[in-house]
Amino acid sequence: MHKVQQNKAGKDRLRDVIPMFWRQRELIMSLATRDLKVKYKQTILGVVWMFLNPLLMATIFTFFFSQIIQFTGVKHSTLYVLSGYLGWYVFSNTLQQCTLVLKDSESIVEKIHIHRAILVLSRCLSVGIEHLVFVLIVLLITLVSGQLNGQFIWMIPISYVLSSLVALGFVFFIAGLSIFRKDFLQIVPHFLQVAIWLTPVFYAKEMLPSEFTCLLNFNPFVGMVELWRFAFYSEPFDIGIFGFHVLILLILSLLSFRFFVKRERLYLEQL
Amino acid sequence: MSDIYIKAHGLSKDYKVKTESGGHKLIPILEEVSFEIQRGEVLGIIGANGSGKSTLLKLIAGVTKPNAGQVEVNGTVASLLDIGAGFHPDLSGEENIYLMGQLQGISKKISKQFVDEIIAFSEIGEFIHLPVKNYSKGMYLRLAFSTMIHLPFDIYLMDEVLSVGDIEFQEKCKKYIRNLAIGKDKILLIISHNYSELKDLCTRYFTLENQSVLDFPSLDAYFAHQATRTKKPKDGSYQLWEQGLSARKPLENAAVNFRKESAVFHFDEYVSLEIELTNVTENVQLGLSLRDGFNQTVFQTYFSEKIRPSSSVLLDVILPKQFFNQGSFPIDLLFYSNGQLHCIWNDCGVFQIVEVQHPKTLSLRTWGPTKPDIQIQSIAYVD
Repeated sequence: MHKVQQNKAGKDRLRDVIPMFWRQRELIMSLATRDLKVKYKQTILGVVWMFLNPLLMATIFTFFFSQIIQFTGVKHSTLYVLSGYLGWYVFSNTLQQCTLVLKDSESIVEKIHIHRAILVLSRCLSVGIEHLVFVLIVLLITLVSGQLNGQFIWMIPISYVLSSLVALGFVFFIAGLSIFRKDFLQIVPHFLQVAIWLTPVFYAKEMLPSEFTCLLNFNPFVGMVELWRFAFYSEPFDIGIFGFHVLILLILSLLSFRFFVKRERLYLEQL
Repeated sequence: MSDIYIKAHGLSKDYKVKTESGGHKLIPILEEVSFEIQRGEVLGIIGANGSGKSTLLKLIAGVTKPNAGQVEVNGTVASLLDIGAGFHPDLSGEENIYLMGQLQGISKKISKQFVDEIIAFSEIGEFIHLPVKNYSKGMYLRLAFSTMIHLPFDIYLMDEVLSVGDIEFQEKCKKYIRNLAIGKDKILLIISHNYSELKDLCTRYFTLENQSVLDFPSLDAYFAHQATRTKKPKDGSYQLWEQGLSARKPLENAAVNFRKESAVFHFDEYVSLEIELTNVTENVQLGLSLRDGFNQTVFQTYFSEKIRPSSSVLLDVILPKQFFNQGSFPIDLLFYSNGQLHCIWNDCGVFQIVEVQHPKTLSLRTWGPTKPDIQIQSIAYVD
């Protein structure tokens, strides 16, 4: 049952859209399972692939950052890179995969009445399950290396949700921007390529010359990545700066979502 | 459950099109359209390509928004705007049935009750467990269509999707859809160019003209309306056949009239034309060329009588009855001088054939511009 209308009421408000997600939860779930099913169905190894990629990354990082490069000024080089990269990966992979949905969704959105956010959310869920495997593997490595801090283990799900939410925020922002200009969809991989080097993922912030260190305060992704390190093995977390980063990211995500919901009408009008 | 209905009020829709100079141009598709459709109604939406039929369905489906006005849709909507949209090639037929249902708002639990019926109706058989990418085009469409018509929606929007599969399957679908419409009190909106398909289904007809909706209670009413527009065709356009020939026109004008209220003929009726030539200045021989709705020549013929110069010539020509299939047939006149085709007068007139039904044969739909009465001379069984 729906109303299609021109006036300001209708489905353009945030508080109407969120209950709609709840009503459509079965669809979101089955689209997510479809994604996973289709991805692994026709492979010989099947779900094993889901474990192979994180295992490979974990092995490389463990070897490289324990045997070849050692960071100074951090508690544990391997875990520093591994947990930081995990935080970044959850964000960047969600962002990339969900942007692909935006590209591919046109053919279906043109024919069937379905909110694009539903498609994005379901993809976020299916990649989220893959990320969960990665999280568990890193958790295991932290445990084995004796660095796991049981006191803050509850922060891990929080960091996980945060990275995914921030990625969603970006996706919705791009979805809102790309209505008339598809260029914004092209920006994503370039943005990620640059941002990973502006954020201490593969280097420790202590390794930077002091004049650059303060610049990191202006990059909210630093807070996101540091939260993961804190959650896994209690790398010191500057609640003032990093907490501010996390807050900024959350607010931006919420605004992006609002922006997207409002702009969606324009998208439908030009279809 | 509350009542099922569709109400449109002051609906307007433009399309923004990029112009060559880089700017934008607004093309109006619908302007201030209002209508109401109640439960149990089956609407045939007919009219020329590009008149906005699909846009109307898209607005009702909610996949595009109007620039002004509103459509209120009360009831669950099955949008068959593109048959098979939403099917995933890697999933099996059965999985796709559930997914398709969910995409259109029907839960897996409900779809489960219909799945056997859908598989049986679509005649997919054991293929149902294979990924649909391994299906033939026909199987794929049959499954998608069966799924959509069997799941319990209130409103069905169909955009030229009735011609799925072979003729037998089409007949089965038509029968099923008729039941759906009449027995179950749903709303159906069907876009089609095939009048015979619509004739036994629809209770009402829409056609789109000049950005607005015209409402007809029957196909005959629509044809009568069409006829008033096609009765007096524009003057035909002159075309010299070969550059080397004398560019002088052998006559001033050629037109085809019909000795009737309208240019609509029944299948069982002779198609009588009156050809009117003005200011013939040379000896000419006349020919007639007929095209079908797809602009393909149906036949050309010429008459042995020579026409001598005169200020006005009237000729009566009778085309056979029980020969043309349903559709519209534009007429071109050909002029020969000295045994050579000299010039062509394009679009001198157009007539329409309706209600193709052989008295003795089945009322099966057939393709092609003509439907001559051909009979079996003898049958021999060699067992």
